[in-house]
Amino acid sequence: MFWSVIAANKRKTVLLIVLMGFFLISSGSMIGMALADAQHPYAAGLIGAAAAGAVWVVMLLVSLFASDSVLLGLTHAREVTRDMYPQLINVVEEMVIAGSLPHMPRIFVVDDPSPNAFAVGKSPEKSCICVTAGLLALCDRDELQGVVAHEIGHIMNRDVLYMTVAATMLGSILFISDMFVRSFRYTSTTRLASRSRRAGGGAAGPLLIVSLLLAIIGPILARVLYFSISRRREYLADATSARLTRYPEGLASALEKIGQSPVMLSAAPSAVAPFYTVNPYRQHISSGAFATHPPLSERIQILRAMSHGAGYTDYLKAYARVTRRRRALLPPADLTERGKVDIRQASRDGCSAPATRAESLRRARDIIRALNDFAFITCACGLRIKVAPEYPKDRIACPRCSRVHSVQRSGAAAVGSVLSASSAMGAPAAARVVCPDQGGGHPSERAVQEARFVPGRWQKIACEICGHGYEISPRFSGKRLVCSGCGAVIRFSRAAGQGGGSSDISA
Amino acid sequence: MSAGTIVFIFLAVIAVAVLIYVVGAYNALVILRNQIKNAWSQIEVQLKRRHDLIPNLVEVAKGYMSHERQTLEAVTQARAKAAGAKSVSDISRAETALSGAIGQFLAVVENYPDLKANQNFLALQEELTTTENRIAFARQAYNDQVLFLNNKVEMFPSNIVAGMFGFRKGQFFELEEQSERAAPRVSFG
Amino acid sequence: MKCPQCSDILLTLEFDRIEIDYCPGCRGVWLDAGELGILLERDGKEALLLSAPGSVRRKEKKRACPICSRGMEKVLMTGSDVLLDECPSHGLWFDGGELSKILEAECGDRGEEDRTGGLARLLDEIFTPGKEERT
Ligand SMILES: [Zn+2]
Ligand SMILES: [Zn+2]
Ligand SMILES: [Zn+2]
Ligand SMILES: [Zn+2]
Ligand SMILES: [Zn+2]
Repeated sequence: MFWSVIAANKRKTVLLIVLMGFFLISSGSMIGMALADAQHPYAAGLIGAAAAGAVWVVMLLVSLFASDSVLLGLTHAREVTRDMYPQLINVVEEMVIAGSLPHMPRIFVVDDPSPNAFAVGKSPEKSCICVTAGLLALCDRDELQGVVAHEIGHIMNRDVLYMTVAATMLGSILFISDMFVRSFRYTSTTRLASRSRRAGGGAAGPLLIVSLLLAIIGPILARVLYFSISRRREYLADATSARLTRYPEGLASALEKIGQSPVMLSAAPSAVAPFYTVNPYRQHISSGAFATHPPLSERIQILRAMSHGAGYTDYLKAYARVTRRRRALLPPADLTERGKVDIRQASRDGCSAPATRAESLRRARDIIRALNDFAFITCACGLRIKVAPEYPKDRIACPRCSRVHSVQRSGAAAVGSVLSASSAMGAPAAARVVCPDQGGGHPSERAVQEARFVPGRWQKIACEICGHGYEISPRFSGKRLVCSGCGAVIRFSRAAGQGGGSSDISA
Repeated sequence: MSAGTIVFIFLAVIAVAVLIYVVGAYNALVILRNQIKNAWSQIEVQLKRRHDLIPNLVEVAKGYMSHERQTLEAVTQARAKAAGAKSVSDISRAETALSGAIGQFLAVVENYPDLKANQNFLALQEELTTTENRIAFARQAYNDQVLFLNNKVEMFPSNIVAGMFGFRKGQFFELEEQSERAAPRVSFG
Repeated sequence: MKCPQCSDILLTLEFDRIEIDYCPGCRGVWLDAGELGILLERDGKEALLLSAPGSVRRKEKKRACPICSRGMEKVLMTGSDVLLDECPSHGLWFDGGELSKILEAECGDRGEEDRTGGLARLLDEIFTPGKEERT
């Protein structure tokens, strides 16, 4: 934990609240004066200031007490339970153990196919972690762990407190300037239409210009202030992630995948942007003072440069080496590291990540469907049927083979089972088994397929009927295999063993 | 004031300072020892969880891999040994052996695509993975604390206090991650 | 999603790594723009050959896009008689009848170049089991 960072975040939060109050009230009075009749500019200014002050108080209360629900509502996040996504819950619990957090954060999934994550909440006791369905679809276990640990890092460093308040404040400024621009447009058009320019209109002119300037510069200033502070925190959260997971490559490869993903966040309001692991608007605002996040490539490079250990000191060294910045990321007094933190080995993963982006997109949509109570049916003929919760009937005839299935609605489906089924179905087409002697064969129920198998070598085959993919180990000794996707029998004709030397599995 | 009084006051001040230091150091050592106890109990919870998972895993696998009796038996035996271990060093050794056996077992599972596609098995495997991760993370926390304690027990002047009240060096919990090395390296083009 | 024709709830079907939406009531099919892109990419094609929007005048009723519920354009698949509904940003709708027309036309003579960008083959695979596997 970085105590100075935590203290700085608390201090900055208070400062921000005061500054924003000042800014809001002054611009509110300006706007009031600009819009008023020439006779009573100051009374109108007072009213404007009072209105802005009221908005500020409301925003403050919201940002301190209801910000998490507001943000979660803005992004349409849904809370997940262990039954729905055991792996996600497990990964978060592991990170809670690693970071010795006092409480388990609540976990949400955002219905969005682009990969990203964020955390909200004003203290570690009351925090929430949100990941998008796209992230779950794209990342394997280690990568997911890296991203979750990054968010836990933001929670531990109290970044989320500052960001939550800042986001609400920024939102309020944008809201007010938008209101102003709109009302200004309205009054100017009505004045033009009536062509009744009184002599007093001249006095409102300078005020108009000033308030217009304020309305334009205000949001820009707010953004610059807000974004320029939030860059170092990303490095520190990355450092925390590496330290907690003891596996920097997990986050590095997750960031790489996220960076390559072409899908942009569709539902992210601009106020939520800085929360995300990766800036959702990175293509519009690439770098400079406007960037909420340091360049991805640099973050990846730093993580990959940590070859000697996963501790904070290792991250700081890698940071200095990669960025060549003179200033250290942290004062050395802040480091409370005791021993050396070794990098652990990659974990084995039962369910491998999808290869193509089309596939990960489909997986993301399946996760969203599972969270929204869709029923999933895999027909024996190989067709997968996804049934919306509002579908009225209990029975469905497969459009392909007319088998009748009953629709089971058991609340939200276990996302894991949905995913593993879909990844099994997504066997590469190139691996299709073609039988030389039968010229294709006619697949039917309980059909027997022939497949070539060379012992001593790993091999990938796919069921001809349902496309279910299998990896056959060199030590596989069976003569046949019953496809778990459709029940068809795959029989292996053994080719002559070619001395299984290269990829022998014996330990 | 006589010289004797001054010397007396001087000695009294030193005695009080030493006493304060001893009390402080003693309390710090006690806190550390309790933290180590806590961290250890966290590890024990996770080890217990792993021991509970293994019979289920073996049960599910049995139906698919009848020819791999040896591997399954090795896992069961290693588990029994680990469950019976008492001291930290015994537990370290037994758990390392168990990790090795599990690694072997998971390597063999690669030969059984049907088993790998089994939903029950996948769920159990995820539980096993998370339990092993939790053990690893809890171990990191435990070893950090032990290192801290050991430094205090060895270094001057806290070593005097530690010696007075019988604080001994803690034992690191080592768990070689050899299961990873036993797993087959699979790569598809 | 609701069927643009008969307002039934659409089912999502996944086959061979492609998803389509299917109406169990009228047997119509909705193909998402993104899925169409994947399909064409896999077949190495740039785009589906469709007539320019607005060029077709037919009496068929205008249908609403199931995603944005704006009215869809009528388009012809070039070189055939198949009339489709297209939402430029969301996808294509095939009536139940149109679908079988495509299947007949394409499966009748396979020597000809596949104008539908692999579409016919996919739909054929989805709706007729036991067909010969083509490699
Ligand atoms: Zn971040
Ligand atoms: Zn079927
Ligand atoms: Zn099959
Ligand atoms: Zn219909
Ligand atoms: Zn549309």
